[in-house]
Amino acid sequence: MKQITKIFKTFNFSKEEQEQNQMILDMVYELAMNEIIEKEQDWDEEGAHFDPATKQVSYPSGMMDLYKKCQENDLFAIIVPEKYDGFGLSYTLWTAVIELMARASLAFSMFFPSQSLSIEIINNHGTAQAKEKYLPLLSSGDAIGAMAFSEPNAGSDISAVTTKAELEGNSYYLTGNKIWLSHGGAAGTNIGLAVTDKSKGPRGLSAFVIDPEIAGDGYEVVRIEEKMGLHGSITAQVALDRAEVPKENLLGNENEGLRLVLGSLASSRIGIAAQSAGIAETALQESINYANQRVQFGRPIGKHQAISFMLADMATQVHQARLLYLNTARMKDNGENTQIESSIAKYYATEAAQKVTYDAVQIHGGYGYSREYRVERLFRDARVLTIYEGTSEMQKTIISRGTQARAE
Amino acid sequence: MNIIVFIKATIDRNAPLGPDETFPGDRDDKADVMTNNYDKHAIEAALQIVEKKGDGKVTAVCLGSDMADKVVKEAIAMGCHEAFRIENSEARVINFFSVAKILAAAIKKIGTYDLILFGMQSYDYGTATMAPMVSEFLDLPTASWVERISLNGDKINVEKVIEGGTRTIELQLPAVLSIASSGDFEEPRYTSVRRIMKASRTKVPVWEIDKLEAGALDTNVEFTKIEQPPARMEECVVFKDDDVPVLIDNLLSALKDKGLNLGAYK
Repeated sequence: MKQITKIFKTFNFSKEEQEQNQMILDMVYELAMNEIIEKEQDWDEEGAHFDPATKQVSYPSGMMDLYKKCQENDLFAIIVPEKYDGFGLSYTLWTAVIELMARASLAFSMFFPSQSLSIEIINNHGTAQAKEKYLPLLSSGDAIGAMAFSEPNAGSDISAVTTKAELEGNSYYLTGNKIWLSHGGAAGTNIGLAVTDKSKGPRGLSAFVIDPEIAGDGYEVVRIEEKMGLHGSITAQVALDRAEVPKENLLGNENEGLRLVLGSLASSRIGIAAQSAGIAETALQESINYANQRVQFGRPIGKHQAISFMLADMATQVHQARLLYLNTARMKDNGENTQIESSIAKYYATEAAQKVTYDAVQIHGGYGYSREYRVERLFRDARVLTIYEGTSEMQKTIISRGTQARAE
Repeated sequence: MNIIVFIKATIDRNAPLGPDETFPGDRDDKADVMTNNYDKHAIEAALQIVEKKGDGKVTAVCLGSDMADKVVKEAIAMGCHEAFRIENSEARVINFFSVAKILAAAIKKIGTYDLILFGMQSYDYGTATMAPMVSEFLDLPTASWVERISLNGDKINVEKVIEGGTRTIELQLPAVLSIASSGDFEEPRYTSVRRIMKASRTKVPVWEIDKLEAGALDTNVEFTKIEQPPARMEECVVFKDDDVPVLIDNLLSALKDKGLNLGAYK
């Protein structure tokens, strides 16, 4: 916690803002470390649920009780503008909240990055009616935000989506299959991408707020994924069958959806970097504790140079990851374009999380491979970080193209 | 229903001890200060009572240096209606008897109150003496380690923890209570972003000790030393017997030999 505070002190926050940030982070730390961390193993073992008969999804036991506490503590309102029942606080603070949540449980922290991405896209590109309707719901947490971009044949190449949107009267009707929806089926808003003009290819895509209540039977969860990690979080496959989306839920202009979505992902990538710093921090702390208590060859293994140097590398990578995400978030607060920096932060932090959780298992030896120890879960959970919200390879593509273009 | 809650700024439980420290004492690093954990239960009790009653206010009071402003603001961020600090820079007054006199004088200055709440003890010195001492100075009824409170006109019924159970007693209001960390107030509420924003904009009024008419702050208690209890060496004994009743009998008689009170067991 002190590491975050120290970095915050280097930013240009006013005295009052510093105090607010500190109090909010203290509260989140307490919630994460007293309550969320206690449930994290149970959630991993129980996993999310899907009932094929009713097509209903649900989170593991107790997760929604803690989600409600986050609502009561107004956590989702942090970055929402004051006009829409929020507090208009900084993205820097928001990402630090994500790190603290991810320290306790990566699965639980999944509620946060997608919420802010939904808030940001709707606030920046939504119609007045959509903002009035959805921003207060997302701010209070009464609506969970989900992203419906990926399709079976459209992953890294998001422009290959085939879900079509047909305008009839005052509504669009969306038909297609969407996969990898975090919170799919439980979400109140789904930001979706669909084809509005097939002849224009990638320039014929539009973005929408799909509201399951309006879409009704047109929005149906087909299954949820059995994953390697993140068992507590819902990852759904959703079938859209003439799902109704009112015209006012169109985001930006028709046929400009791809640019809008790609442009917005830069900010959520900072959140994924924050998650990575959080899970890596926990892997580091678990390793330090274990290395200090495990005695081999007559002394704690942390005193053997082989292990102590591993700990040093881990600490260095965690610190770098934290600096990168906080610094990029602060740049964003200052109104800078962070397209490249967000990708750098996401690429570095998520890869660091792989290395740190891998080494954490190594330091724990045989125990690290056992389910009894937390590092086993951390290792499984962390694996997804270099994949979702743009793979490491996509980040490198963005970084390389961006820096080369900058040089020209 | 007007409730006064006394809160204390103590050293953060997670703050590491210095190499020569057995007790963190009075540090001057702001980051190391936190609200005495037990006091949060008292705040929770006060807020629950006022919410249930539908009217009244909760006033949090803290004796401390400007380091304690953080604690006072946290009280507001938890939901207290108002809060102030009594200036005690450089821990001028630390002996409990004098502290109790000051708190009693502050209560008199506030004037209107129905209940005065304390946490059951402090996280640092942990003497659990403040509530009874203050009640003596004000000549008010008191109960310690209260788990449950029900209002009954100008009286209250409280359940307080005693060894092996609870005891229900009736007190005439106003009264002084110390709140247990179990029972109805076991889970103090968190601060919320909304209330934190309010708290950060609140200017904490500061009162001077000298203007409180607390009387002579003489030193009736003196600290001579704080030390850790010596480490005790105990032998680990493993009882082995296939016959379970015999095994239990062996265990119990060994405990009895150690001087443990086993009640009916002879």
